[in-house]
Amino acid sequence: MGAQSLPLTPAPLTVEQAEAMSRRQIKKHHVAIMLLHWFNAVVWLFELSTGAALIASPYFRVAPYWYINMVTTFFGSRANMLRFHIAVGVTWVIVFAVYVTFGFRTYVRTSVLHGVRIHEQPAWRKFLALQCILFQNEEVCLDADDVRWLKARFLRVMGRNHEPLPPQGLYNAGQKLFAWLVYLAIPVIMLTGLVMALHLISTMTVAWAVVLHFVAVGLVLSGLMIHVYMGAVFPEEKPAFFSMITGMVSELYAYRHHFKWWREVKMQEEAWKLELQGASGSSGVAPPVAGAGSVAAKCPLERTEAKREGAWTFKRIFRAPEYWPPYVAGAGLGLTLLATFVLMGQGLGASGAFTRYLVAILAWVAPNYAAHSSYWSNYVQPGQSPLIAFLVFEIFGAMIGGFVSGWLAGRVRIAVDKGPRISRRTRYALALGGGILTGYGARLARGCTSGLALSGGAVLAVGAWVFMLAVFAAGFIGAYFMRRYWL
Amino acid sequence: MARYAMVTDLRKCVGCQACTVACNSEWEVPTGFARTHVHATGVAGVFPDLVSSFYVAQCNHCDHPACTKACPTGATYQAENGIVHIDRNLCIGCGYCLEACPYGARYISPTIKKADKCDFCSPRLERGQEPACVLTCTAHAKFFGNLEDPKSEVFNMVYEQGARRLETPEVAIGPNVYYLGKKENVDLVLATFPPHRPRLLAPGEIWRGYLKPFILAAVGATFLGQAVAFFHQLKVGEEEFEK
Amino acid sequence: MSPKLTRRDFIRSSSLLGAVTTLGTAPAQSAEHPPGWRGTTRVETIATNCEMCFWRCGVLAEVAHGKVLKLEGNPSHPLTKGRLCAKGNAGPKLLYDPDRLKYPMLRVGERGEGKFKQVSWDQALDFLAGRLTEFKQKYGPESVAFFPHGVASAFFHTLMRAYGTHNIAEPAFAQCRGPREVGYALTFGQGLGSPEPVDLEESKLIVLIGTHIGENIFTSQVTAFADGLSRGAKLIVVDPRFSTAAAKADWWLPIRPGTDTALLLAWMHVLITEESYDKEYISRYAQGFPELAAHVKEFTPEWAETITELPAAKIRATARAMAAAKPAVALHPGRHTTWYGDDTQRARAMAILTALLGSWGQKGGIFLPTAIKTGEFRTPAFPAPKRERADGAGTRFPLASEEQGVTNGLVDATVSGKPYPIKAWIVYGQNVLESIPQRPHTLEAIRKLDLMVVVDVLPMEQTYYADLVLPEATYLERYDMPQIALSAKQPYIAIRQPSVEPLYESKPGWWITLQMAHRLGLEAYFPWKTPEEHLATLVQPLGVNIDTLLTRGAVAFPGRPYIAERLPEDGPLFPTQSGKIELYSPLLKQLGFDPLPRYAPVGEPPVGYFRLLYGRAPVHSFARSQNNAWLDALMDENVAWINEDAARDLRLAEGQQVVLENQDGAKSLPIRVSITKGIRRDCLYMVHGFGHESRRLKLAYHRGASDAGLMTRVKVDPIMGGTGMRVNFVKVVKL
Repeated sequence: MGAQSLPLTPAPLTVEQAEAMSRRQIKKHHVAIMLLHWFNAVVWLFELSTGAALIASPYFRVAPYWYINMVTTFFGSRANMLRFHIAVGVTWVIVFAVYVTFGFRTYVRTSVLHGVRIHEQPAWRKFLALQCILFQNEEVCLDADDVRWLKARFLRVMGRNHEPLPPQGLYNAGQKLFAWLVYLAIPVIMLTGLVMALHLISTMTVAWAVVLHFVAVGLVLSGLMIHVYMGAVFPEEKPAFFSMITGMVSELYAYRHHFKWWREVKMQEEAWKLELQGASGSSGVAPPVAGAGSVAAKCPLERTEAKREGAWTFKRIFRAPEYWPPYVAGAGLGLTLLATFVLMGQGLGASGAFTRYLVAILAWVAPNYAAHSSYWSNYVQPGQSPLIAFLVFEIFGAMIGGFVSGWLAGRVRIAVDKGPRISRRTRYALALGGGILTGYGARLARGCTSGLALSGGAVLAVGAWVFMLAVFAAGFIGAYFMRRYWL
Repeated sequence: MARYAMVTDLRKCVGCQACTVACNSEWEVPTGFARTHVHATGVAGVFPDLVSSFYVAQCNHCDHPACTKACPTGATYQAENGIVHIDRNLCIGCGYCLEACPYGARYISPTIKKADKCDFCSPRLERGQEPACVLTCTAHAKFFGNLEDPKSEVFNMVYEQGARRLETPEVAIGPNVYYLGKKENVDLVLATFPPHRPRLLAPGEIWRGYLKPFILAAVGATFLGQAVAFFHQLKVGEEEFEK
Repeated sequence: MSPKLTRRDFIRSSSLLGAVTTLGTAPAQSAEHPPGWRGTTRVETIATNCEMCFWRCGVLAEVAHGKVLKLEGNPSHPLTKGRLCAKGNAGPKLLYDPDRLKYPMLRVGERGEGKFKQVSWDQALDFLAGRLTEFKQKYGPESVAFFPHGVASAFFHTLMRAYGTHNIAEPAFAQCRGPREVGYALTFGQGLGSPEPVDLEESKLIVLIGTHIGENIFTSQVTAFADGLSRGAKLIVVDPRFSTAAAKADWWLPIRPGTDTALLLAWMHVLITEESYDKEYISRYAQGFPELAAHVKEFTPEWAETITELPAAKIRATARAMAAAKPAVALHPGRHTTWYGDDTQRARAMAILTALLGSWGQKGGIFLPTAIKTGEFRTPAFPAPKRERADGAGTRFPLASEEQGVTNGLVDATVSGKPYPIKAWIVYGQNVLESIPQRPHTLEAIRKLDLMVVVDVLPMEQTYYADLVLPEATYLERYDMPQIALSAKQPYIAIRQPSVEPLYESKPGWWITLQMAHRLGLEAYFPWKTPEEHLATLVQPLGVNIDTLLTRGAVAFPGRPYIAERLPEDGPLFPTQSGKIELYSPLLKQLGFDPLPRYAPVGEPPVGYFRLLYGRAPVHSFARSQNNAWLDALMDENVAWINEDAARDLRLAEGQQVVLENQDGAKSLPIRVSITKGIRRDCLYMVHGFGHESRRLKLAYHRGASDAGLMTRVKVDPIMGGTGMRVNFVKVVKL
């Protein structure tokens, strides 16, 4: 079947067709988008919860006093709360600035590639192009179908009309409108935030910034509530929620909700198939397996069929060859952490153990230096080895536990995980370099992802949350530069 | 609990500005600004029966301060002892408090870009010292103390000698800096430097009057809509709802 | 990791995370402020005394990291008790004034051009020693005149006497307190000194004649004045201007300028004719009463009304108020008293009125100094000069102080070359162009000099005319001669010690003096090596622990301020020739002056002209403090007070810039007009000290106008040489 055979509007599906389509997964989101989405979600959660508590005076206040007091108590002082609010906000600004800078580059590259000549386009196309330049993301630009969709949707809500909704792209018009709001409001929020945080320009500027900040956040918030509700609560859109975690949606969902996008994906798929057939047809010999494979790998529909969802049995969890579902692992880690606090009186950690190993070696090789160094001496107590500490044993436990779990799952083997383009030696060098940086950073922050982010976060230490945000932000930025080593 | 107050004896004050400079020096106030400043009223009356006085201005630490209400972040707050403080860590330099204060007691420091004003020398009080202006006052015209202590000088001056607040019928927010002096002198000060009604800067007024209700209504409406949808969803049942 | 690297270094060395997390947060102000700490800084407190003016209030310098953070009043100072005026509080801005003289300089351009080259201290002092030796050999040591002012010059004063000159004069006498000191000494046998022993706080009636306490801020005097008022003292203010004090007065007498003696005589007339003077006091302590009674008989209030333009009834009423309050009447003798050239006689009239009220040596009146004995140095006697004083003290001006000299006398001698030529001036801590009137005359004198040396802190006008400029350390960087204040109720000794090391290449006065003494071979006059040693010798007989003195800054001794408390060892009550209060002065009679004060007209301003009056502002010290950033922020220029009727006639607007031109055509810099009801319409008032001409004073240069520049005329008091300066008239020229 060719691209021409694809329906132009969604047609009713047979039960078998629907069943088959629900099994097939289509990749909807790039991993960068997913990371950015959740980063954004965390930022909004933090900023909204602290921001509402920061507006304290009668003339401006939006949150009730009990809420303001509760959040203030959590942070210890309002000054800490503001510092946190600013630190998170500035991190947000920086991450967005990086994303937008690189995203703009990508956009310019693709639009040059496509050779779009704006002045020859119809009016709504010009509008589209303007949006594209503004938002640097074609997927959120409103087009003619969206306008019709909005009109139809509105008439449906009013009970005036029951004609079918026009087909939608990767995002529907509602999502696009929200994106519009967000895209317009975010620069306002960021700029006014910076004006307030750095007391820029003049008193009157700051006075206006306060109000603009509140208004922009308030408008986004009213949309955000729909967004969260639709994603997390509304049953019809549940696949969209999970797509933000896995990146995938079922073909059926795509067909029903984002028909235009489904059609595009389908057309691309047909094109690839045609290419394959054409190649084999012209030479008259069977396509080379490797070549076919590489083309097939690019095609999103050629992915393996989704595994059938089944109950998580004990065997599936503990003996299955695949990894644990993250939710179970997360809960398990939480319980382990709780147990550690109850039994050992302290949380989990990793880098602290390595510090102690190093101190033990120092105390053995150069005891005088270790005892008098202002940094190392914290770990040296007379008559007691620096190795008598929970963390030291915990690391051994972690290693044993990891081995047992891998063995049970049948995964134990000697391997170097690396990207396909780099040599083992490069991988070793990168691992060592990364390790040194991580160790340095961990001691600087007085804890690593385990000791600070996990254990600290569990006891609601503000530093832990700041650290975690910083880790994710740095990871997000770093990943861009390191991606070639893995792809 | 203490209720701190200051009394300026206008019969004694000679307008020498020692308080201004001592305060500038104590708090590193940028040149050209002041936490406390002295103004002459100019001469009134008919020659040779003339009247003139000085007005020693500073933060009044009012019973019902206008500034704390206008401060968006709560950086300006009143402690239990009546002293109105500015938490510099919270101040964003928006200037709402400057406009709110009927006595013009505040300024935005050009060095830190934040609001600043008299805090009755709180750190000095903690160290057991008098406020810098009281200690230095060459005319021995400034008195500081606890209005709830009947043995204090200020109690005597306020409740026995009739020291007055600079209040008008329009602006009566309970200033805690009192002025002792002949009626004609205090009246002249009040007439020359009348407190203005507490004002809210335009953006704040727009927020309070229009934008805040609108935003709250928008957020409330979406919330309500969703709540309706949610209950509908629960009532109909998820599977049914999906179809 | 290097062994020295601490956690803190560790943090400091990596700032990326820090930069993100601390954005937008200001340094936190700690809630904990333990004593001796300011915020997070530990502060050292050094007790010393102020020299923003010459009252020398006690200050505590709060020093951290070698920098003066704040000057605070010293609560244990016996006189000022922790109070400090605006100028005192602004001391750090003098210390850290970027315009300060920074190194010794030799003139390279013309005089007045202000071109100098930097030289080392050795070069500068060798040069000065060489020139002084040359003058001594060629013209005799008397050819060198010394113009000191301030405490720092005390050591140099000794040096100049040891060098052999007695031509030493400071403006504190002939341009300031001289007439008062002489007038009171003629009457009571002793002058008043500084701080003025006026018992303002205990007084029942305070009388100020031309004294503007409140604008003239001497801290403890203002405190006593205000405390006296709040204790219920009545106040009479005689001033053509509605001054700060006048605004507090029960009786403000806007007198016609120059007629104060007439008012004083009328008051005496009322007291004597109504027999309400202190009869017992007069009969016991005074002589010459009958002559006085006869003398004032004709000076009725009605007579005075025609002269002073004050209602006779008001004169009577105020006289009766004085009589009712006697002897607790504090008739303030004034401080700057060189007004009309008859000033000694006016001071005499005030002294006589004080005597009639019986308030000298009485509670609430004028109290008496108590002597304390300080240590002495074994030094050779100063060489006796071979020639008479050039300034006329003791000769031309028979009753002028030989200790303080007559500045204008020295200027005259320099210009005229009589009685002998003056070849060199050493100006130390004063501004001869601002403090001495008749600036063109002074400049003429300077042009005739072979050498002019200026020792100063700031590049004042006179430095432009100097051949050698020596930068002195400020009072916060040096030891000085301690203050031994006898005319306080409790006499006290107060020290000055450095709070910080001298900035730039500036040096303290004692160091300059010792260096010069060494170069001139005069070490014998300075039997001490360090200022600490000098101080130890001085306080030794007082029985004061030197460490206590250094910590507290000042130590007081019991005083006997009232007649009733006097002991024989305090000497005679009235050390006059007769041993009594001399209402009638035989000495004046003998010298050919009026033995009893008499009113003489001082001349009226021509039509269109105002009498130029001048005074002080509370935030400035003479012409010294206009470049101080904090004080400049409070008052950066002076204004011309003009009566509102006169302003209306001249069509002047408030704040309008005008130029003042005096009767001799001298013009001022532009000055703003301040239109007020609070001044008589025949006078114009301005604050002294503005209109600086030195471009190196970046804040003060050409701000406001100089009253000194408009004083081309003076009337010299024949008794003591004081320059009466209120004899100049100005007209307003619109720009």
